[in-house]
Amino acid sequence: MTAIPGSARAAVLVGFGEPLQTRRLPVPGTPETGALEAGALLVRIECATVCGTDVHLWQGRLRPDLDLSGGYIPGHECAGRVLAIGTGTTGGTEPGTATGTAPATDSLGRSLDVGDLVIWANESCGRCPACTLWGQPGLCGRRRGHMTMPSTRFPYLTGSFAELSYVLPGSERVRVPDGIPAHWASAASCAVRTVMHAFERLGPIAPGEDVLVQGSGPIGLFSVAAARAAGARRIAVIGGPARRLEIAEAWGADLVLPLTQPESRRAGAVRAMTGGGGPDIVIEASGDPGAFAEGLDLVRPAGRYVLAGAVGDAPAAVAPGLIVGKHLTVLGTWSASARHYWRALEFLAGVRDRIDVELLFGERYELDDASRALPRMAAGEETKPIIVTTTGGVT
Amino acid sequence: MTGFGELTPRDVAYPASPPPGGAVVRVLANGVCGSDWALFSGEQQRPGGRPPEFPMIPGHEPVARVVEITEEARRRWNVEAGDRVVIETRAVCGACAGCRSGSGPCASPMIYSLRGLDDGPGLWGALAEYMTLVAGTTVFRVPAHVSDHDATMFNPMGNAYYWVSEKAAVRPGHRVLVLGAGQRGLCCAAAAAECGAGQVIVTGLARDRIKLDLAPRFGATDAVVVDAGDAPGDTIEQVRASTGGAPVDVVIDTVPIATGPLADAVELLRVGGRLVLAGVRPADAGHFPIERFRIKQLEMVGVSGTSTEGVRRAVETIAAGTYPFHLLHTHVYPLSRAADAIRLLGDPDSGDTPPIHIIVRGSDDVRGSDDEPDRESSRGGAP
Repeated sequence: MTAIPGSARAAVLVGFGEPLQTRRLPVPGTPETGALEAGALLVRIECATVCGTDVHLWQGRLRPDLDLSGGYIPGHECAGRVLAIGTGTTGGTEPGTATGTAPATDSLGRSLDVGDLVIWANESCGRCPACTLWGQPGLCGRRRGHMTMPSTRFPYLTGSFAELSYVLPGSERVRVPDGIPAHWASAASCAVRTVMHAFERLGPIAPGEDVLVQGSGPIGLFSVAAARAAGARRIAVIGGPARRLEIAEAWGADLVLPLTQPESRRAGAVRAMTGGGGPDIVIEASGDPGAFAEGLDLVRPAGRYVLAGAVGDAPAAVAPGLIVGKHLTVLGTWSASARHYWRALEFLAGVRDRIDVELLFGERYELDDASRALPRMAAGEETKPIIVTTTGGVT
Repeated sequence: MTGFGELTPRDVAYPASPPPGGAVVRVLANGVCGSDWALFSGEQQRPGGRPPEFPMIPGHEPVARVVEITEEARRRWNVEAGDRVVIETRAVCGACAGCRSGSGPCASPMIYSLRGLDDGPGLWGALAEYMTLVAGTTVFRVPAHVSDHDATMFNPMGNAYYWVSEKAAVRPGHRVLVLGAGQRGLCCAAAAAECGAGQVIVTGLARDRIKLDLAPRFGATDAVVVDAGDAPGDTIEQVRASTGGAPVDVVIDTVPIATGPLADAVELLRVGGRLVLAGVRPADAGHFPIERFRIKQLEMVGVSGTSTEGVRRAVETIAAGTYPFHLLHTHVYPLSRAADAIRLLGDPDSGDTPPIHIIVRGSDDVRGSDDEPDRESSRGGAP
């Protein structure tokens, strides 16, 4: 039996654009808070990394209608070490002990023990069209977890900017193999798995195919690495600032084009790189709906265009005639499922000898200091900041 | 056609012999396509991706009788002189990497109706009495019981199979929404039904009533007037009423100009659903809900034209007699009035009744006989 701490510190969002407040919150599984539900996990956040979505949320662009009176813990990209496995009885019970509990497993059926490192998804209901008919639990209308539960009520700890987190009973979870550092696993839990899903949607890259990646944030950068691994011939990236474009080059981009260049000059460079015909594949990872028109213009006839980044209600200007005339295939992709979490970890393990994954990660911020990471990421001064959550200790 | 908007009759010499490995055919009837109007009007400045080789003979949906055929074509096409055939618009070169790979596409296809009159025998379009066919042509024999006019539906029906079956991958039990009730919409409904769709909904405007009334005979389970009732234009509400609120698996958008239906389609599709954009459209930009499209993980495919498999299935379907294609032939013109036929397509309100499918005969006899004219010359074009 592992001792469950009585409280845990968390950085809490109480107002859009305002500094996060560090609060001490109750922990599920104590006599005061009630039992861990059967199948739930209590994990110690080994590290959290910041996602662009956290920045959008903090700025009020993602969920402007959210009632912040109770406070929400931001952050959904993290890796945690199992502290207790829920059995429905207070305190939680380690698997395979004298209580007779069946060994706990991850979503792949692999054994899961206290002390294992895991990444996990929001909980989906498993009983709706998105979950069952369309096989997209990430779109479940009844999903629970990050940003669906305020920090004032059970299970209190559902965001990753915290010392501890509660993994809901229905959340898909994947054990992290030995040798993958926690901050890589953290990036795998959102950025990399999103790219794995986008590449699943894209399908194979044939030998000789050229790729254009729009955007040089984590999604764009991992798209470069994935396109390189998938056998692309030449890869161009449009993005910025310079530091991110350097990473893109280090990870396999043949041509990097700063957003500060005029669009006509970028277009000329991309066309020249592809021998005049335009890229066979375009991956939109910029988050800017305005990028769509540029991508439609550049992609070659009968090419493929994956939309992996566009956010916000702003409609994009689309010329349907261009899509028809060029016989394009446009693919939308969003979020991911357990198989993509697993694939993300496999991908990182596979490319670690070929690219310097560490280039992505930035400064380490104490939990009390997490607010400073958000505007720095918004300004492009950071690509993937790390929130260190354990230094304050757990009481 | 000597230029945009210019279609004049001209006598062209009957070819001394068929092209190597090809044939000479007597045109019986030809379906008029939206792309004929797009080229005639000048809206399409670069058909096939390059400036048109004026003068040239338009028309690329021919039904014809084989007059002279080379031994090689006889063997490869499995047809004889005297057979009636439909002719695929694209002939392949047979020599490029695409052709040799067996899975195409051909890098330099010859597109009938777009090759110049001054190039070789010149009879490369179907608005003429005779056509010359090159070796790389694909033809399908038309069974004796199928009329010339029904056989001209091989192209719109072939398109429909390509879009619905190959591009949208409609499967048994799918709910399919077809936007538009023109010849393309009706053929797409039929193709969806043939693919086993569980529900086929066709939309149209109140002024398309005549076409919408035909939809049930072309496989549609529901025909929806989108601009009727208290909420004119509310396609989403009208379609949901017909599905009991359920989303659709596939949307085939055959509405040639409007961009509004795109946003409707994004809303009506299920998670992971497919949207096929078909046909000729101007390049004007419309507002597109890109985040919604992305989150619903939709797929959008732009298509035009057909595939050989599409045409093969179209000929089978026409021959099976399941659908009353004869009800679509609203207008049949003699060859001498070919320009009027194309103009009617461009201005559907100019005729006595709104056109659904327009046919130009390969002679001035509009009743369907095909007695052969003087072979010394072949008349192309029209006043």
